[in-house]
Amino acid sequence: MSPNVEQPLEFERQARAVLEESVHRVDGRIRSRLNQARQAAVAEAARRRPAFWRSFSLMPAAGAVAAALLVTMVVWHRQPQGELPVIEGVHSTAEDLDLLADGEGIDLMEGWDGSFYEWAVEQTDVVNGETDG
Amino acid sequence: MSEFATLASPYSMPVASHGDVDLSDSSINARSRALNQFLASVELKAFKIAQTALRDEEDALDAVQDAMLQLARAYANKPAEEWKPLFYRILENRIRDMQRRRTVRGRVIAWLPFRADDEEDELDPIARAPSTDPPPARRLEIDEAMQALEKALARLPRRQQQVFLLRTLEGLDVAQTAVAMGCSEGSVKTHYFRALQALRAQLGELYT
Repeated sequence: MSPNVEQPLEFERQARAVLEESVHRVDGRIRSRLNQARQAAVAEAARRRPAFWRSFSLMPAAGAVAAALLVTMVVWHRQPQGELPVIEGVHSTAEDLDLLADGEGIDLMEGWDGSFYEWAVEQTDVVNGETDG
Repeated sequence: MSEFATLASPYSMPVASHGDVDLSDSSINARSRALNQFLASVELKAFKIAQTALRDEEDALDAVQDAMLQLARAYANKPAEEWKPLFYRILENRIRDMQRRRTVRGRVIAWLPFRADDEEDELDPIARAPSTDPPPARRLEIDEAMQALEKALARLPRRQQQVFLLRTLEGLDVAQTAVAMGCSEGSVKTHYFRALQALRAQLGELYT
């Protein structure tokens, strides 16, 4: 822009004068509409509270969200992940459960006669002793 | 804008970050006054810039109104000295959106069997009255220069038109214009130089 510094400056001055005159001639209807738009914008800015105060007003919601997240995390970690861990002593209990779930075993238990089984064991021992002897 | 700095509460805490100016309740009115003052200082020029780009009063009014609201919503807490380039950045984006929408609408309407009637202008002689009346001879001279300039501006590429109006009418410096246009300062200088060359080529007889 340096080669024609003088002419652009004069040209700019005249162009600016014409443009400013055109701005000056903007009619009352447009001015009124612009004024209304400006008032609406200013009211909007005043209605929106600054970030500092807005952060306080959002604190209850943020607290609720944080609490919900905390509960979710706790519940999540308490849920079993994958296979159940093997604990010492549980093995026999599991076998007992299998036995109890077996219908035949339960039928036998229903007709439990302790003296009969003791007698049967003795008889077996006696027979075995005679055979061995 | 410096008024705001003097009116701001000395007890307001600098809590906000990213350049935001935090406000206590007592200083909100001061900021509203500063914003009102700023918008009043730019609204007519902004309207003229939008009207030159859009060639329609109603569209220009809509664009300026949207830019005002957007500035108030998103940037009212920014330092006041940043408002002007931000405002014109918003305005330019709005103008561009409207031009694009108008292009699409024009294509659609061209295919329709009917045409929308032009909205009737509300003829209110009082409201439409010019704000001042210069002497007839001077007025005629200005009218002629104005029409010639508006025609020449309308023939410029959009970026050149934009940079010329922002620099010449609004008086933004190169850096502010670069922010408003979303380009480098080098691009601003280049567009401005080309705009001046083109306008001088068209208006040389009238303006020298």
